[in-house]
Amino acid sequence: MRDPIARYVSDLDAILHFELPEDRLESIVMEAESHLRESASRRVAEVTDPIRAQTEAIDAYGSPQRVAVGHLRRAGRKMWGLHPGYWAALGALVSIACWNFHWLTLDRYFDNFGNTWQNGLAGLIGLAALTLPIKAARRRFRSNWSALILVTVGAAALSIPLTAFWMIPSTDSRPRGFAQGISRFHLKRDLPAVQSNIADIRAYQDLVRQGIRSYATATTERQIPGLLMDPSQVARRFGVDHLGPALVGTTITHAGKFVVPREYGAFAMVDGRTWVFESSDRFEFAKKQWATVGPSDLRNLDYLLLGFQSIERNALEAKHGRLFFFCPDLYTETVIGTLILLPLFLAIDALAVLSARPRGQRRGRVVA
Amino acid sequence: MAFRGDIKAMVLGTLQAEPLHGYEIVRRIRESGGAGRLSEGQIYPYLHELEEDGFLTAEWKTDTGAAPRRVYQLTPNGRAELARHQETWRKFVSGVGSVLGGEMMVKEVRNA
Repeated sequence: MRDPIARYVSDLDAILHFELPEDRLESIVMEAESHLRESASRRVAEVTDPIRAQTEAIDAYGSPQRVAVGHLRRAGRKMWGLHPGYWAALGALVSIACWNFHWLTLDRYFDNFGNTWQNGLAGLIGLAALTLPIKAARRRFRSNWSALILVTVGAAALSIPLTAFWMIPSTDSRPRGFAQGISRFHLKRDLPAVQSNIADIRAYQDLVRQGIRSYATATTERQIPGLLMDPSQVARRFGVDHLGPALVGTTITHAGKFVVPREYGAFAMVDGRTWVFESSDRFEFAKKQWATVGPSDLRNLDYLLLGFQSIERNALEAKHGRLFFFCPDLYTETVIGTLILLPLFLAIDALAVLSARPRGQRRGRVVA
Repeated sequence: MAFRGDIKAMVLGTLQAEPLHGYEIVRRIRESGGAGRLSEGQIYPYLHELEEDGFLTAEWKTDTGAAPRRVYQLTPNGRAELARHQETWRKFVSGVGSVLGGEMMVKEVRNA
């Protein structure tokens, strides 16, 4: 029957067997046995019982799991030639960059890209980069929380000068809810789009005013000007495919010959897309829409005009080197979008550490 | 009260006078109280790390009459590293001691 020290050494060997090179494993196990036998032999004088002496020596040495973790941490000091903490930080940084890019391109400043493959690729790369913090934590058998906090907070702080340099927002007379801007690196592409928007919005305003006036006094459709009774011409005039049917709450109306103001407000994007009019097949409905929605859409168009004019002015100033460091609206969402990832990184890191604990099970070792 | 010092520095200091085997190094560190809650087995990874970094060399001795022992000794780099640790420690004790009022201790450290 094996003595306690032999059993201990066997357990330690089983835990480390597939984790370390054979020569290092052999050295660790032999050294543990040497230590335990010497420790037990010195204790025999005090306790007289050799088995009890061995048990006490083992207690002082520590459980095989604890000792194994210490050795594994040392073995995991380097990962591809660097401290694993650097890889964890790099993974977090790539995720932050990709997801911010993904988010910005989809929703805000680079909406020109639209929902393209670049967005999906960036999102996937961000997801794949998370394997680095996981691998780093498992490699070290300990958390990389300090590296993760440092890189996330650092990236959030750096995003302020970065976005301030990169993006051109609307600043003066900025309407609430108008969170659009253009890239400093795409001025040639985006500035003409903004200027075209300004011209379109002015034309929209004229048409909406005309619609409000016409429908206010009209009792039959014959009194409505031709353009407001020709959705396809309005669509062509403003470069839109077609005017869809007016939607009011859950009521689905049918598209028709009457041009009506959009129930959910006029909106325009920096890339030139606009949403101002819809169509209906019923005169009474059109009359009601022009009376109730028309004025609010007109106010929306005023806001949009102010916003795009501000972007145009800023873009012209940016050409002469103006930066936008004092525009918190520009970077607040980017900073929050970065910091909000920190709990995710820390949770992944913690789970990776927990899942890396050796469990002391021999995994299919063949004993000759 | 259990405290935990810089284990690597303590290992280097323990080997300052003579080469020692693992059990003896661990025993001396444990007796100093500087290992804190570390078990004896948890000190060995530090020995191996110092060896990997070139501060120690180790050799199995089988001619001791007892079980084989792995004996460690300082390399020249290890001595330089120890001197660096000692200097840092002197500054630390001197600085903290001057604030906390341990005049005797500060003098001892300065004279060491």
